[in-house]
Amino acid sequence: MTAEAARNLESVEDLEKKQQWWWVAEKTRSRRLDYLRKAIWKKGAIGGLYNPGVKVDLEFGLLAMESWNAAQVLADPKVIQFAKHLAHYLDNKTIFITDHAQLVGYVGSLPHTVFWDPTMGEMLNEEIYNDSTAIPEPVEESIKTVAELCDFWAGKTMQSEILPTFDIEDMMKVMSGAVGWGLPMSRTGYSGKDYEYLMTGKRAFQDILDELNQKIEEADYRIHNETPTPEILDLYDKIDCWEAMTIMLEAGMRHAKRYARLARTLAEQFEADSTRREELLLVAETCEQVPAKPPRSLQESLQYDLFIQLFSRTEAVEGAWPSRPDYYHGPYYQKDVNEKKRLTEQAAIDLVGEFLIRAAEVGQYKPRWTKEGLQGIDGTWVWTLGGVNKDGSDACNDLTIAFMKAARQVRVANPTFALRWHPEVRDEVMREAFECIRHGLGYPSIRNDPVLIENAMFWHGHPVEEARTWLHQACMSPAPTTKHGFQPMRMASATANCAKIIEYVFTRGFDKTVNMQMGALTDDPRKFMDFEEVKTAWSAQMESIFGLLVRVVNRGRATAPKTCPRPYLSAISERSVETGMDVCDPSLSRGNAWITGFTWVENADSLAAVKKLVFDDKKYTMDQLCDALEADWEGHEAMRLDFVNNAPKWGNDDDYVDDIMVWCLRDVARFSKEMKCPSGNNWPLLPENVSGNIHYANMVGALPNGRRLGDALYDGGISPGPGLDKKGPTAVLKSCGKINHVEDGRAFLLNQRLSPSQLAGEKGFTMWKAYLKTWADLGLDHVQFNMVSDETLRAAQSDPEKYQEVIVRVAGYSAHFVDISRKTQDNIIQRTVQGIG
Amino acid sequence: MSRRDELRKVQAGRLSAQRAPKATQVKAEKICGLCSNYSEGAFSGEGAGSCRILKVKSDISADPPKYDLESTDGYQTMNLMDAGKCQYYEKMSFVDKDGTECSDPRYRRSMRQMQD
Repeated sequence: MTAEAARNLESVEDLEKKQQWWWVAEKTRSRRLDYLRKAIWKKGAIGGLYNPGVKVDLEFGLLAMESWNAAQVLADPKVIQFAKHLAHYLDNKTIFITDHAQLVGYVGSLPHTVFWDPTMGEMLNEEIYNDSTAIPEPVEESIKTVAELCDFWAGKTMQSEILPTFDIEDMMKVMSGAVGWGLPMSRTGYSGKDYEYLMTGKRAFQDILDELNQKIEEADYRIHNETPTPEILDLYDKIDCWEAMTIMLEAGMRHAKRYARLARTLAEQFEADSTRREELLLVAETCEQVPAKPPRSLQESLQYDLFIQLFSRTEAVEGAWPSRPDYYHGPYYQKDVNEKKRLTEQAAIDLVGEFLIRAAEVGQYKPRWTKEGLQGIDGTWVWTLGGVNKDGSDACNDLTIAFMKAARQVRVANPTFALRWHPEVRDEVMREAFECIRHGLGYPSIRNDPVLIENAMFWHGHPVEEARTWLHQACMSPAPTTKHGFQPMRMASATANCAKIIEYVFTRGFDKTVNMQMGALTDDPRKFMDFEEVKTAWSAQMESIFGLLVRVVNRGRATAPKTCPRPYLSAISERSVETGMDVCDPSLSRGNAWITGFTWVENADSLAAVKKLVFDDKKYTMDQLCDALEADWEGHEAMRLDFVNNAPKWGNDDDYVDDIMVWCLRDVARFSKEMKCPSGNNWPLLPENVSGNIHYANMVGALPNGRRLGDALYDGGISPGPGLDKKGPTAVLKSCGKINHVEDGRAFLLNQRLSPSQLAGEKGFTMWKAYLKTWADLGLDHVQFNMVSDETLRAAQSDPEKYQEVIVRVAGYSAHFVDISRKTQDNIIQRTVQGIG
Repeated sequence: MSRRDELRKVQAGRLSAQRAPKATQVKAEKICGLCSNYSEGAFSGEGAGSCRILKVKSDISADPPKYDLESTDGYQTMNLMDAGKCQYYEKMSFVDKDGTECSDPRYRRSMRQMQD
């Protein structure tokens, strides 16, 4: 008998005692969920490569090539041409329905494929051509097809369109990849959605289409019947934009009807099982209803949402999935389960679990920097649960609980949840959150709702009713879901590799990794006489790096409506439907920009080490330090250990270094208010990391905190360096509590590891709640937990086959432990396990 | 040539490499991606990187090669660039051969053309 088979004979109680929650889930979930969970392919990459068997999808490229040729003949305006490409794909792509599925739709043509849109950019196309594992079989033939697609789209992509619009020096610096991520395009990043327009049951695609047609008719009438004046000039572009929106909505409705037809055909002609036949007929009925008309049931509501997301992923490469599912789907759960009793609780959990699985299987081919920065997942699908209604009352509902129960049953690493905690959240909800964390999911993360609502008002001036609708636009960043408050595209380029700030203080802005002058040409550090001069240089480098990234993204946002229109996203956004302007037009938005700060805490620890060992204790000179850093600490090991062990470190409630951290943040906050987005709003900092700490390890040189080139960076946000927080969890919270979480930045990620054995049972829940009370009293905005023992993680490293389902919190997202690189695994194990109580 | 012009030239080189017909690509025996002086950039899935020794005005494909060691900006090159004539070429050894590790770009070979 194999070990696996033996384990399957163990009772649920025994497996619970051993805290092997993945086996518990497999034994207790429904047969449907078990089948669906095992039927999906993992789309996250390990390091630079996808899992074996996952292949790039060539269908979009081939269909787009077909429609491009047709569109050339028609000479359509660009936005219409683009909409027609997408419509052609939706009309002709391969569709399938998985056995047992009640929800349908996939971004690619087959379950094991990752979507590829070769119209996006040559850089991505080149990467696919070079990919050693993801080319579909037969490989030789597929390489030829990939080469043909690369050649066909070369010079015609969005990348080719936008690059010449940027300042050459800025673009070279960004493209070096040393300080920022990604291209500033409105078709790659994190698309917010106007859920208040779309998901409140008041309208669906057909209603919007009717409104758009009326707008086109009125504008057309004005053009042809009014006396010609400049007043009507913008109507030409608006008509094009509205028309493109109608093309997208009609294509979306036709696409759903294709699924309805397929489901009906399967039911009537192929399905022998009467129960499954009924299910397929219900799928058909669902797809005939949505997205054309508003949903009437939980199944229709979830299917509607799924279509909305998949269409958006056909239009753009999405790195995130902003969602508040319990809030928008909750009324349908209430009606189906509690009022009309059309669904049992378990049947509803099956639907919700399948919704999580459908999201988990989504995969779009991502460039290497994303694959490495988001190891194990396709993007940060951090779904927001709980929080408050617009009037401030508790918004948690039965679906909030159902989502957390379903998550423990299906155990997907993506999507994950973040719970908007506020003082009125019921104990029952908190218990469910605790159980998810105790079961090792690493989620939900806990967000401090009152703090973040105030923060949204402080930084971006969102009115309180709008601020209260907030959800996670990516892993951490709050954004409202309202007409002017939602952000249609957050370009990933405003993601700063912050450790470069302190590195450049010592290199005078020259980057040795990419061999170019990246930062400001500050004074020679060897001549610094006091710590104030170090701070001045730090401030200049900070402004130089953040200024570069903001300039580029501002430019990208300003040109996006022309260079990268988003007709589908516009069609589901009230402000675009109303005005006939592309959704990314900054004039329509209040602005909700932020700079994501990767590798941030190294700055405080490094500055503290310089202050302490060079200027206060005078143990070393700046000359000696510069020599050591230039040599990557080689030949200076005793000195390096001094900088590691004998300088104060963030996270120990030590004012010496904590004051430096607060100074750094407030200096950034000052600059954040000076920089403005194209909508005229502020650019606050949001320190967090995903797995950028590993991705950037070989790009950041030696630092004064004792780190060498190639060493993993800290796990990010305001989390202390792994193993450097030596004074317990309260000291960590107290350090973090010295930051003003409203005014010092947009949000602050805090990773904590807790002991699963200590937190078992009722006592564990009580201790965890007490910990959270301290967290809330200190005014922190975020905390997330890993509760998997070192023993389990070490066992998973040595025997990964047996531990396929172990999940860990990386930073801002969760991943299956076996799906992250060894270096990242080690970094997680190194984090301090905090004992609480 | 102004710095902006130099940078434009670098970017044009990079873009033209991305647009080169794929069917004609042949891997040379000595390529930049196998050299220990080569740094893959963060975006380098498409095969771009820079030389840690040569500067922007270098051209290792010229005959004879041009070596600039003085300019401010580094020489942008590609994994598959023929480095047969470059006097600074030093073959590196790889550690991560299956490409599943991160952040060791100098010691990995996730690209199809660089597999053994």
